[in-house]
Amino acid sequence: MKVSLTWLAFLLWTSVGCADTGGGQVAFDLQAEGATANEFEVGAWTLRLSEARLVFGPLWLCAAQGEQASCETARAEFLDAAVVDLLDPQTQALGTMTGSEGFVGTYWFDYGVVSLLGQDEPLVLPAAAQTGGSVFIAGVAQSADAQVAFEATVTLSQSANGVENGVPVVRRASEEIRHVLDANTRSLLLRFDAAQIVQGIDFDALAGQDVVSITEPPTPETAQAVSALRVALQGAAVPAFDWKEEE
Amino acid sequence: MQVRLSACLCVIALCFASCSDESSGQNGSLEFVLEAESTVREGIAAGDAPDELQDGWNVSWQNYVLTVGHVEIVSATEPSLSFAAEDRFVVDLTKVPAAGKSLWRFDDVRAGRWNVFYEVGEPEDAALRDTSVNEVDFDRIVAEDLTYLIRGTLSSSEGQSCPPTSKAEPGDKVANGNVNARGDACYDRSALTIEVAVDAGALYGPCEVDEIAGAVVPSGGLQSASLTIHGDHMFFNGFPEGQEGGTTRRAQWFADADLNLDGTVEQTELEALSVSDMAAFDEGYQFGAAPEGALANLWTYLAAQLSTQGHFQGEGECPIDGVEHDH
Repeated sequence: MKVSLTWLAFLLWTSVGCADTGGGQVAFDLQAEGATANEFEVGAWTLRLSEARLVFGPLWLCAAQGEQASCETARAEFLDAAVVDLLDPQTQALGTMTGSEGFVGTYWFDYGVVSLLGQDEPLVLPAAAQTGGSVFIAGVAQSADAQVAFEATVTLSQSANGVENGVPVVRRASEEIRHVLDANTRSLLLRFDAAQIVQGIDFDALAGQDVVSITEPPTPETAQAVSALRVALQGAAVPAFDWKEEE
Repeated sequence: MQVRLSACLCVIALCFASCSDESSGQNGSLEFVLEAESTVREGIAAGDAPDELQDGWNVSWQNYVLTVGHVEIVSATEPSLSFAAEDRFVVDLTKVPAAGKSLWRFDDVRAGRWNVFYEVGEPEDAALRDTSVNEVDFDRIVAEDLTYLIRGTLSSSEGQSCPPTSKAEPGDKVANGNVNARGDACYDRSALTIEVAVDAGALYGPCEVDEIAGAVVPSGGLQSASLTIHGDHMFFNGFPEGQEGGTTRRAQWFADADLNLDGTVEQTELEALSVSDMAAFDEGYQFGAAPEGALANLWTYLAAQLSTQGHFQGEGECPIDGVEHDH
């Protein structure tokens, strides 16, 4: 088994690093869907969302693959950012990915705010400026004996005091992103789930307030909620990826 | 696959693997030493330097036991040519000399550049106990399929634990009057026991140093290369892509995980806490490169950080689980 793992790893490495050097140019649609109902459970609370918008982009697809993969060369990219309506299950056009043929195994992306090397302040793309941050979610949380109306806005970017500047916020791989880009590649569909984004919020800690504004910098009362949103957007709530080919 | 497996079976599964490459008359030897970073051998001091703990804690390790092995080399010019030293050793890295400990060797292999892979992981049935590990710990490693068995102490004369209020179980402990940024009450804690027994396996490779892959076997000579295990990743403020020099090291999150304030952080306490529970994980932490599932709770987070500690020739990088990993 262990030999097989090594062999598999080496096969993947050689296929990416040596054999697959890419080819002609490709262009395909980048699309998104909101993938959840606007009402769902979070622990003992029922959430009903009235608005949920997320800013997605830029996105880079890279030839490397696997956890903590680096991206020496982007195979395809979407250099803008677009607003996704998380409560709209219809397919939404975000823009066009352009790049070159070949294997992709890793995705890097931002939520509308881009860290730039050598600059302390990140670049806020128009979609994020329009939204007021990376994500805006509003709704009402209802439990058996309490109700909390909330509005949440958080901004994600690599901060000057963070791990490093000049790299996107999310850098990851998954089985579903692995794909060979070629002339038949039609679109990449991103499926978002607003329930995953708010799932970690401790609404018990917010109970007792009729209306809660979850913004940055947080108050001691909203710090857990802000952190939960930030962690989710870097972890459990990253979109699912679905490739579409020409029929 | 069968061809590859056959090649890999060219292994003498004793303390040293010796594989013959009969296709060339210009052969040499390559040995691998297991090396512990100074953060393991000497601990980590509090301070403002980038490689120090910047929130006032010091850490010292009593044991840093690791299961490591299955070193494999693959010819850089002829990828179908490879050899493996299957031996897995259970080693206490705190007792490894600064120069490292030679554990694997390939003899009579073709001169030239070889890509390097190795694993940390479960001991399985064939693990060998290094003399640095006592039998009790070795038996536990094997019985529980552990990658790491780590014992250490966090200490600070001004240390305190500030567990999240909603999950803290202070009992009759008396708060010291301080609160953290979220208002969680703090309790004096000048020393905290670390005991981590975890499966955090990973396959590393192909390893490189300064973007130069692997190691070179000299014609008619012996080359040494080190598999270096770092000891500070559990204190990183994220999962860096670039050089570790941009990383900040802090231990307060671990001190705050002592929910019952008994001076020891238990696995159950880490499993009961989410990343977003911790005030210490402020905006200076970034988790966007965390492996999938790593943010489920603090135990998975800790295991994920430990799984990134395998390096090559000191600070050289090895992709994890067969993929690029550049930090």
